[in-house]
Amino acid sequence: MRNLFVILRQEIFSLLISPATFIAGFYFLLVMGLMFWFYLGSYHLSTGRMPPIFELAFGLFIMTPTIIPFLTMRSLAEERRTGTLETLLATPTPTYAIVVGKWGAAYLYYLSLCGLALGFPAVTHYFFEDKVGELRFMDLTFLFGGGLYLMVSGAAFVAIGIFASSLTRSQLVAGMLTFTLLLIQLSLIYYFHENQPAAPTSMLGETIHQSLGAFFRGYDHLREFSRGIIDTRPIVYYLTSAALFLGFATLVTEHRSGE
Amino acid sequence: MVNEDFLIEVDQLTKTFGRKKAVDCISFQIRKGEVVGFLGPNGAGKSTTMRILCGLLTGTSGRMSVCGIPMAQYSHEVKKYIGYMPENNPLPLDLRVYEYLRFRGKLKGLEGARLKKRVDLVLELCDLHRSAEQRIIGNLSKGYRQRVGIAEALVAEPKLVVMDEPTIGLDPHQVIIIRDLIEKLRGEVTFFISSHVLSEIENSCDRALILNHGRIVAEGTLTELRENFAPEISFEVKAKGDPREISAQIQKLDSNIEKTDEGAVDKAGFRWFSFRSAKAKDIMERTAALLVRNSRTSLGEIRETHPDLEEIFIRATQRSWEIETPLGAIEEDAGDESGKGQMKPKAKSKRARSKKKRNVRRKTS
Repeated sequence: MRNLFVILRQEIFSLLISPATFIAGFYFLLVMGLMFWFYLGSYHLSTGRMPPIFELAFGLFIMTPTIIPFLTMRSLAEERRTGTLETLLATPTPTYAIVVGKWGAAYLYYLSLCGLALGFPAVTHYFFEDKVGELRFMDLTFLFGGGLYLMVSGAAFVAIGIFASSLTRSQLVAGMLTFTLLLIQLSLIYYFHENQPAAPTSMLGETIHQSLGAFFRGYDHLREFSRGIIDTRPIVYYLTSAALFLGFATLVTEHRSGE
Repeated sequence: MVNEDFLIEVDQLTKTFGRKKAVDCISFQIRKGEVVGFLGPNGAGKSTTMRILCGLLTGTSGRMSVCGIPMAQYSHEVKKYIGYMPENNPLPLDLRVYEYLRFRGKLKGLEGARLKKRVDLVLELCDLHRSAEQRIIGNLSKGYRQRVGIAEALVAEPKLVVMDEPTIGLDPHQVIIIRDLIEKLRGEVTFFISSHVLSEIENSCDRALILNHGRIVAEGTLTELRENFAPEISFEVKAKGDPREISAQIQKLDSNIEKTDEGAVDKAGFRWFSFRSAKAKDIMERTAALLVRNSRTSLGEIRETHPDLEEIFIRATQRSWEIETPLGAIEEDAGDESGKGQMKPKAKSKRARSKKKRNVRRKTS
């Protein structure tokens, strides 16, 4: 356990001394800022039923396939390519500690980016409270729900990135793989949002459609969380997914340690 | 049964990758404080053995213990006693030397004042404390990087240091620095060094293991290896006179004498002749007496020469090649448990058997 924190600390340090971290963060916040700008500009056209944090959280959620590969693609793939993973594994450090340490650092960075993105509504709220006060940007119920959903979904998405990075020596391949896996996840969420399992044609079809639909109801879950309704099912789903992918990454790293 | 004199005990260790045997039933022991060289041609299984020794790979069969602790059950525990420097010495290029050594020290269980003391000590030991301590590893020269790799291997007071090709790509000055470093730590730390630079092994190591096709084909001190692989006497004679007559006369002394080389004549009219004799022990004295007695020849100098490790290495690996059947199968004497025993050709290899079957089928059809 001690070594897990040593690796976590070292990974955070490595992220902080890498220019790529700041470049990725800058572009992410730039895109989020523009999205927020357009959201403010078009708010009068919307029905206004959903709290504004939903729009921001949804923006962050759909941005994950583009930002998470930058955070995770380097972690294990680069260590394997340069051979430093070999010396790391030769120390009395369990493989899970290496994987979880790297995941932890990327996850904390992801959370800090999400936190920084929340700065847009916060700044708008404090400086233009008379104009946007009715939007309840800083309503703690909405903030907590939306933030919690981003936290748990981010844990799983970053774990997917770490898993992809464990599969290859190439950062580029790891990044593309993460992007693809997360895009598939978001596509399924979109598909099951558009095609609610309402009219099954057979028992088997119903079962499969409903089972998958229950897993990929991310859009609906986010809506509920953003309104302050906390459902434990997606929390369990994302946390177990994170554990599963980190477990796979550990197994792959152990299996390929002698290569 | 654990022998406390031995730091490493390897017994019948085998490692297969699919159908390929990378390490084939090897056994050896290394005493505490010994510096042991691990030699072998490319693909002989040296790196695989070293990786198993460091807990990065698990053996397919066999037993291995380090400091009396079985590797298979307690690899995590064993890693605390090992410092490992792999081939090509991979290092994180974006860290400073001091940061990197602190990080590795922490991972190996050091902390606080002890961590600082050990990092400072290895920096000094590897001569990194003056100029390279605060430099980014990526900006260092190859020699400095190699020293950082060695410092990393030494940082946690290991009992065993495994180094895979530590002097590869270094200039002679840097090689001497690394040799001196090993000399400084001789007796305190056990070194297990693989290298293709045989002169390095000859200069630094107490003993050598020679691996070929995943098997240990020779093992021992340089003297023991010489006795096994180059038992004949070699000597050089500097003499003046008709070269044909000198050679013929010396070869007449004993039928086992063989001329191996003849040099060019120098300004004084002398030239060097090299001879090898399998049996005759007093051959040098007899040669000297012969040349002195003969009025047409004069003796300048006579000296015994010893085959170096390179020669022994070539003979040891060549012998294992020759013992192999043309189809590449070797079989060790079943009674020899050391893994270095006499090798004999397999009666028939799998490929030979299948080839025979095909021939039989052809004939019957």
